[in-house]
Amino acid sequence: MTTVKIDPAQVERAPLPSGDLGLPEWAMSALAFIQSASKAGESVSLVPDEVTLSPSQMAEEIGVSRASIQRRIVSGEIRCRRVGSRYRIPIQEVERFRRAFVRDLATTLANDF
Amino acid sequence: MTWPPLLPTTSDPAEDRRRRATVYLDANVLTAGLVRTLVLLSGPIADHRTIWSPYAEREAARHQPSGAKGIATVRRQYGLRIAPDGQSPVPLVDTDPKDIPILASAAAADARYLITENVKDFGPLDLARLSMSAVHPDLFLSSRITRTEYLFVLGAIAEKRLREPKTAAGIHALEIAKKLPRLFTKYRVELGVEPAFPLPGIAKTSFRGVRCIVCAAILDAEDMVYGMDRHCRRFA
Repeated sequence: MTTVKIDPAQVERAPLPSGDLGLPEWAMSALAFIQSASKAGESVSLVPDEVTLSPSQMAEEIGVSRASIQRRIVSGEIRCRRVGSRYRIPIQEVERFRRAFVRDLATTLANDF
Repeated sequence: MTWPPLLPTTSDPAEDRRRRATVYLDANVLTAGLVRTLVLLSGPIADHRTIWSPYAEREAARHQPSGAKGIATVRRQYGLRIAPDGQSPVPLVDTDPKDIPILASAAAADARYLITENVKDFGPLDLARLSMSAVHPDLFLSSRITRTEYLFVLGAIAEKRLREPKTAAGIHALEIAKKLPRLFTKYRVELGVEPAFPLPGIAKTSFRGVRCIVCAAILDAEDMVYGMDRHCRRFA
């Protein structure tokens, strides 16, 4: 994804219409932020920031030990990226692994009864 | 299948309480069988985390049916978490003496719920002083696991079953109906099945304690009868 930059001149050329725009709250607060920055002569850059978890947070989410997540990262079973010396796991990967983990666990437990 | 968004924190204190609940499993839940399968499979996808201690693991091993995989083997194979055997922060006075190590370990692990098939063995005074609830697995699974989570777990079991029943509806009608009548009744219409056997009675004592099964709030005396606060009962 690319970065979007909004300059004060752009906002001045085409200001927000007044009244209820029928937009959701998150959109309105983003627009209000851009408008207020532009009034102060500042530009605003929108940069996508991927939500990631640390191995400890992921272990807590799935209910397994941190060491087991670390092992699966090293073996390539969990995809992640490195930020400096630390691993960060994208939220989509956490969700993919969560479902794969339950199916795998079912292999052992599904014939218990 | 869509999942609720995974958020590290929320702005709603009730939702935070719910999300962060630690659930301690008694030895009778860890012994191989339907209940163990459902509780362990729903753990990673639901909004609570299961835990137990070496004492519970040893007790489960003593009652393990021959040929079934012991819980210690399953835990090591999948890297499931275990809490150390612990001491209760308060003296325990009305819990069955044989269950004191279980309740003490649950308290030491900061669990909010203790899932057990023998709720009556855990004393109301002890549970109140530890701000915990002892809950029967049938009541816990039927109150706490969402429809999406339950159907996913049933689907995963059906996918891996080597013997009949091998469909989600079949497992619900035959296995769930035989052991977990509340859970069966909750999804009877959804899965469009009738029980393969007459439904067993609901456990006489399904709940004891002070934590709402759904949102983990501390209950007042009136709500303790139901195991849920007024708000949660409206959606149960």
